[in-house]
Amino acid sequence: MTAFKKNVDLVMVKAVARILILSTLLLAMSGTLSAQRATSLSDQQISIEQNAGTLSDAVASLNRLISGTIYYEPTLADIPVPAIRAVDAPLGEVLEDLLRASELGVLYHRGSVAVLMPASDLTTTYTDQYYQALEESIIAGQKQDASERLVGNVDSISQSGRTVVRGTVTDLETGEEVVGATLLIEGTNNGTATEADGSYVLELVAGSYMLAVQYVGYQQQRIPLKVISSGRLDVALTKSAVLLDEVVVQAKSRDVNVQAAQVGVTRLSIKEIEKLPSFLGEVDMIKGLLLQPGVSTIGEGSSGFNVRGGNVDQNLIMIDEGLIFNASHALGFFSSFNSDIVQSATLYKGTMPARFGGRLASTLDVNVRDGATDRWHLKGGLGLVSSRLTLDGPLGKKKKTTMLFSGRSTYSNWVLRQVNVPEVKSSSAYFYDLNARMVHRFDEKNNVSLSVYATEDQFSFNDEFGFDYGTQMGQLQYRRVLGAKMLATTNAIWSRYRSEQQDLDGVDGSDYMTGLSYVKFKQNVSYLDEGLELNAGASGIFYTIDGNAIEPRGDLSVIAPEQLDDEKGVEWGIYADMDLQLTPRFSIIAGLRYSIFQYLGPRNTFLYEDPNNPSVEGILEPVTLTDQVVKSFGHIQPRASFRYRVTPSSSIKAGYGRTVQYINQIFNSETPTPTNFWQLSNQYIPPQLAHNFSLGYFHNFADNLWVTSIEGFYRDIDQLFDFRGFADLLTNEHLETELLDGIGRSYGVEVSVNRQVGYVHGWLSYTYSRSERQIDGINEGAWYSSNFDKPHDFTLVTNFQINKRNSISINFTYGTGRPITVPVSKYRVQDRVVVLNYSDRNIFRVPDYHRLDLSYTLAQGFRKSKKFKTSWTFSIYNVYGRKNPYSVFVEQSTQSGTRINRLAVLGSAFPSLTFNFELL
Amino acid sequence: MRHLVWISCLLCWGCIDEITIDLPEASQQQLVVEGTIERDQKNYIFWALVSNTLNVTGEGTFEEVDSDVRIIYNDEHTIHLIAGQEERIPIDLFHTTFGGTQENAQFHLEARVAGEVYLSENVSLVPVPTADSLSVGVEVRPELNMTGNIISVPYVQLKAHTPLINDVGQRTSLQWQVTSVYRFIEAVRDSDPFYQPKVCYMPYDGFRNDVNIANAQEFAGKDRIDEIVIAENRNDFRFSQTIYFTVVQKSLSQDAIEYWTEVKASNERSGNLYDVFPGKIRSNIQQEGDPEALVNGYFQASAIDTMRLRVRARDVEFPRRFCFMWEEPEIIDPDSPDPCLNCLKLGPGVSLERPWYWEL
Repeated sequence: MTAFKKNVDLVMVKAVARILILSTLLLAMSGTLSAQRATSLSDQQISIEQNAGTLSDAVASLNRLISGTIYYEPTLADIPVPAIRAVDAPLGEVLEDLLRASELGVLYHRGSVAVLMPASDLTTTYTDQYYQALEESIIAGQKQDASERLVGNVDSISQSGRTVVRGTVTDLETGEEVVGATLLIEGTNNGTATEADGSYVLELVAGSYMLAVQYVGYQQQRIPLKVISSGRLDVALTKSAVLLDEVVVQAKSRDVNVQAAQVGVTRLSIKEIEKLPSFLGEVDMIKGLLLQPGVSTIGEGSSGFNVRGGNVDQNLIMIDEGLIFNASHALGFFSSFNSDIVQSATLYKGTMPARFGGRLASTLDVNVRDGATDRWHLKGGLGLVSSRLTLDGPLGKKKKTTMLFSGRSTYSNWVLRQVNVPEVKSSSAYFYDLNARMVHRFDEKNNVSLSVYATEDQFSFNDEFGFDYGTQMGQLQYRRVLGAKMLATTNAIWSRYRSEQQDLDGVDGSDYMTGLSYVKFKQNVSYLDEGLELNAGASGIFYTIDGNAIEPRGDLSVIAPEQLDDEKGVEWGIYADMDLQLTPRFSIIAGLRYSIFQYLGPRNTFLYEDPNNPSVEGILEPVTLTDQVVKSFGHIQPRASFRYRVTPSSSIKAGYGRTVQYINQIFNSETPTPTNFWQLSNQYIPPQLAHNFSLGYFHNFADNLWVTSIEGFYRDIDQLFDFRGFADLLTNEHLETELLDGIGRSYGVEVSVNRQVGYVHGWLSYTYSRSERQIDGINEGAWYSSNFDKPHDFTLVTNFQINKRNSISINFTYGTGRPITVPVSKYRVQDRVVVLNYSDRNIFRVPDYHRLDLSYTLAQGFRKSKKFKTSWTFSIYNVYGRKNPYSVFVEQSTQSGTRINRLAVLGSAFPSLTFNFELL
Repeated sequence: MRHLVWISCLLCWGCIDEITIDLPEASQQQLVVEGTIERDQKNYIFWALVSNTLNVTGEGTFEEVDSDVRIIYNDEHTIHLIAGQEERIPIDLFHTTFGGTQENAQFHLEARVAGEVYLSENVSLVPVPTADSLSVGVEVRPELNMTGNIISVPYVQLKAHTPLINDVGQRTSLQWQVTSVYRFIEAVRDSDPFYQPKVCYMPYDGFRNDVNIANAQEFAGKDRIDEIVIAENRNDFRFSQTIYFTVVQKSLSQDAIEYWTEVKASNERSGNLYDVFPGKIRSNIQQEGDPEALVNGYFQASAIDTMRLRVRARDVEFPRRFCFMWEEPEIIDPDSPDPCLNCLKLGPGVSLERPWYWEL
């Protein structure tokens, strides 16, 4: 308490001192205002009789007589002043007499404050905000109580009175940053949310406020706040023992959609995703992503996701700074992200920040959290097909090092062995993923982290065929704070992805292998200042693509071994971007990225008659290119977005971004499979280029209770490629002959209505989107729909927080059926074989997709102990058993003739039960 | 990849069912122009046909289209054909008449339909390796029955064993065409101990739509191929007595194997996640007046070798003769479709005459 009071006194003194230091003089208007406001104090009638002495004695006497306060700089305290005698005289006259012999003057403020300062300092215009700041600083010194938090100091009072409050929101128990926590100034529309590192920035006018800080799973804090100048305010939240119905469940601040300049950003709340109905009880981040506007998939069981009509491989998926080339488990039914360790997940589907590059459509930036700093924690879940366990905590007494270990594994093998069918017993389906992270903080300004990520999937059926694929990744990150406003981050990453398809028996017995590895370095420097954020850096990624290989398997196999040459390439990038608030209404994010891609030699390849249109018929001769760099590409990629705030609760945003992609996934099916491979751009396969445009209007209603937006987008793609019919892709040493290049476009509108808080909350989104291509050699060069062209997509997510323990979530999804190519006629050849005659590519559609999911969560509510928390989640996926067709195909049989069938990957309702626990 | 569909069904039984979709293109008929030249040990066998496509779900027969079809030998000599009918010419006679040799013989097809002329590329015959043998095996697979239960179903697999190198040292792509005839013996009759059950021979062409091919390029470095499955059928009543498989092994040129690879890819799409994109199947026939016009059909030349395999019930572990448990009706109806009563009711093509190759 003593220390606190001392601090308050210091503030008060500094406030006065600051006034004296400022060389200002009141101009007419503000002077008039000041004079008007000062009338009541300067006109107060007082009677006083005091001998000559010091200024401090005189002011002390006067302060006892007036209903207001007279301030002065402590250094002036000992200035001698004459005796004063007055009877019912105005204070103004008394002070004038008192100061006449000195060089001091008086500054009156708001009728209750008079500040004594050198008369020469009274020279500059002060704004109302200045006076407000001044007043608050003074009042803070006078009335501060223990519950009030003070931000800033007098030294930093800005002339405009505007302040920037920065800070971090952490978990009180673990010290871990809370990502996505909402900070809202009550009674205003002003608010923000914490970033990936738990930090936030809030712009305020100096004054007193009530700040509400909240995040799901934590108790809400209401903090009386007194802001004097720009400064820092850290907040520690306490975990709630049970799910709190009053907790606002949202991934962002209530009005971030209106405030932020970035357009087309979706920030996923893992806590929110955990409440969604899950498939087989497995909480899946990607499934949550698919409920966002503009994000879709072509069907259950397909790997990856499509953003605004983009290919699956056009999404940059990153875990911290590491690139992920296959984020699916179980052939696509689950993703490889363990939600227990994800700190934040942000999808940039519009204009990507310049620090991201290498993909056309989107960036999914997933960050793994650090281990807890206070003590060891255990968290896990038991589901029907898999379980997960996370252990994290500090090392050593000083707790400068934290560790996090997390694993997830399926026991579907055990399930399969219980099926009394020999073929099933001899089948296996298995996956796991592991994450480990160590963070060491050398001091407040330096820390280093080492992360390991590994996934593995194995699948085999009855010793006939199987898949085996996995990713290993190691990341080393060093962060150094440079001064008060700069942060330098250095990353070094190594990763390897490999995939194998096995045909286990017969004459086709074979192992087909593909994969890639890369080494990435990235250096980023961030600069943060009031209303300004700068990022600049450089990166290099060295790719090694395994040459596709096929090897015979088993004695009967007649498959000839083949091994293509490895490919190497390097992608360099330098970038800078700036997030600048120009005016309260207008802010802009502008960035520039320049990338260079070098396809490295030496390389065996072919020469073609027409290099722009390689064909098997046009092969001239095989050659070996001995150049160190076979082909080089360079692209400038400007990115810009701006926000214009129309009203406090509405804004218009627009964005443009140029994106380039130098590595592409090659697959000749409607969705990528684990055995698809990646291909670098080379002298025959140019990089894909896109222009991305976004325009949106964002409007919140009822004090941000309802958040709405409408966003349009258009993407124009050059040098897009698609595959010839019946393309032969595997171990094809002249792959370019199977590709056809052309152009593409996608466009659409996303409408979203989100109710953020309350007993019933959730969102409704509708997306109209088209994704089309025009390629010579396909559909006679006419525009045609891509595989993921789904014009209408509707999602309704509703959460009912019945009470602290019970919550229900209901999701409904509807989407247009995806395009397909089906046989339209048939003919018989050689009087035997009936041949199906297929339509032009993708001119038909499967029937529409719709699905209803339910989940019920029973949280722990009555257990006294806060050490061990549990919850049960019961889900039903596809409640009414809709047989959503993944595809339509024709079956011919001698007995039943020709039938048109639909294949529904999930054709019935899937109930599941998950038990979650957490030991704090 | 069909297994992937099965695996999907393990997760969700009953997830494949029949639906109806609108196919606006279905009514558009297209021409199919095709022809073959086959050479066995003794003869050239010529055949050509022009027909129409059918709606994909359409029933009925493929309609033949009036046409003038002919084979041109070495761009000089014309062999006129009757569409849809085989023309056999002994090899010696052919070359005596038209000159040239088997090795340098080239052929192309010419078809005239409704004023349009269709011409194929020149094709030549690649000698076919002589097959070693055939064998059968039984594979049991889990399947979903009508009530959604998983049952084990035995399948008989016919396998070929053959060299890949032909007589002139070429590694050769192959195609197998499988037909069969099974024997069916009626049940004995308790009411008439003197009744002599008839023995029928029923052709079974359940494999007619199978595309069985082997691409020599995929087997580079291999001289032979063993146990390649060329036909598969449920182990049903057809195997309860004896069945004879007749396998015609054909040589395919590189162009022809690519054509059949596309046909196979088109026909074997199962709708699963990993199906390759379908496409327009290539042809080596062009419309003379409009080379860019799409033509259905193919002109193929193959040397052929024929093999046969007799498969008895015990070879495939078929438990008992089909009519073993037959219950004789009280009144014998001569028109009854019951084949145990009258095996001539088995279906079209049934005969009491034993095929010439049938060993007793």
